Amino acid sequence: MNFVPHALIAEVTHRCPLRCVYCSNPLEMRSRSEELSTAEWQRVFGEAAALGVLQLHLTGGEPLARPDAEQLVKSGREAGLYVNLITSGIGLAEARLDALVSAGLDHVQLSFQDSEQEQADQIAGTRAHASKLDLAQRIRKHRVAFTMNIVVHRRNLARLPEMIALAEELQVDRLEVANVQYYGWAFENRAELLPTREQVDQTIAIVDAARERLKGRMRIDCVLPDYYARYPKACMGGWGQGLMLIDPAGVVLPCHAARVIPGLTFDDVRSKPLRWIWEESPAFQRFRGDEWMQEPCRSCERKTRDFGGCRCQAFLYTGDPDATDPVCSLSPRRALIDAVIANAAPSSPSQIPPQNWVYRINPSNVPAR
Amino acid sequence: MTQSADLGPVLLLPETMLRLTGPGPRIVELCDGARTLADVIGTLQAEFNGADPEMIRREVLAFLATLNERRALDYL
Repeated sequence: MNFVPHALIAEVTHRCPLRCVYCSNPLEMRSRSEELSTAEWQRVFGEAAALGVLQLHLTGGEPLARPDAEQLVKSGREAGLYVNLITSGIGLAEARLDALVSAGLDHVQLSFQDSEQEQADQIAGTRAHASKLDLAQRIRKHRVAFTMNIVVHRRNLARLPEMIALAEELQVDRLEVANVQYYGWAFENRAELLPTREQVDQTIAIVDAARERLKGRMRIDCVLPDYYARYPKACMGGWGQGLMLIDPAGVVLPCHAARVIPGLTFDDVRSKPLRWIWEESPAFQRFRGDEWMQEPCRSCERKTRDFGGCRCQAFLYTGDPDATDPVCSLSPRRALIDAVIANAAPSSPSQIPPQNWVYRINPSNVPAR
Repeated sequence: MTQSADLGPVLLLPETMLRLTGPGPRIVELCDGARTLADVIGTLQAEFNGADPEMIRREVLAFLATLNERRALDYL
């Protein structure tokens, strides 16, 4: 089967001024000295476009931590890609915002942690909320598509209506209500972050009503936590089927979390052509098709829709990356997920940060082994 | 709007894309920030002069309404 990647997620650095407790970066991060250079990224964007990639998502860490962010935008655009910048916006001065837009930026996605400053800063582990509000108003004055991304979880979902109101006030084109996905740092903190079923049901109702009310003014996308789903998500649209991620050191992955799966060797763009990595590398081939599947996936009629769910989640819970995603109601290991739901901390209005959660750290300057 | 090797003409939007078929690419092309809605409809009516002008008008409006719902249009 011939798969074409339509999107490239470029994690251009793991450095970040925020320390969010649900960061999607891996626990073992890339140091600055390992990062691909401007010229290397430029070459990779060209290789990606030749493979069929249409959209480039510049992310991190904080992509603006790289002094060459403007050049990366320009290189992406020159390769013919639609360029999206996913940023916390910290320290983004007007001159630099102007330079990014002039370089051809198509879309800015600005992340928020909450509608209220104190809670937002508690999640981010630093003071960030006020500067985001200021930046949002400035972004709106530029001709660039603007998404507000707000990450939701047990501790802030009660304020979802206020978050939607904030998005309206900031006049964004699109709002992404993104439930935490439980990988990386979020997996470590899942007991403190996982919402209740009741909260998830309310989220769906609130978002549906807002979509109807704001039709034509604001698009709202909503990502739910799959722990409450009956069937697993088609993670990344299938392993190595439509999307790839390149980490700061140039290692090409099928998703953010894939490095947790043992026994796979992920190739990097410094030593191999991107086309070979996508089309032929053993790691990208590993979970394509259904040869690798176990029962109940293998004989399941849903296998062409959800591909057995998420390989990383299967590994994180069962120790076996070939297993059926344990969130699936048909999985013999579904009890593992039900236990997490049952053990998640009771919903607490407390504004005190939990004693036992882990803030994301920054990469050291020493490369990881 | 761009040409995808495997999908044909597509309109790229934040975190998504729309595949364009039939007169879709031409309509998007005409939405250039200079033409008014009446210009867009008039141009297409002239280009497809064998078709019912009223049907063209309704189809263009329906197509633009879809784009608008996806928040793909800006008005100058």
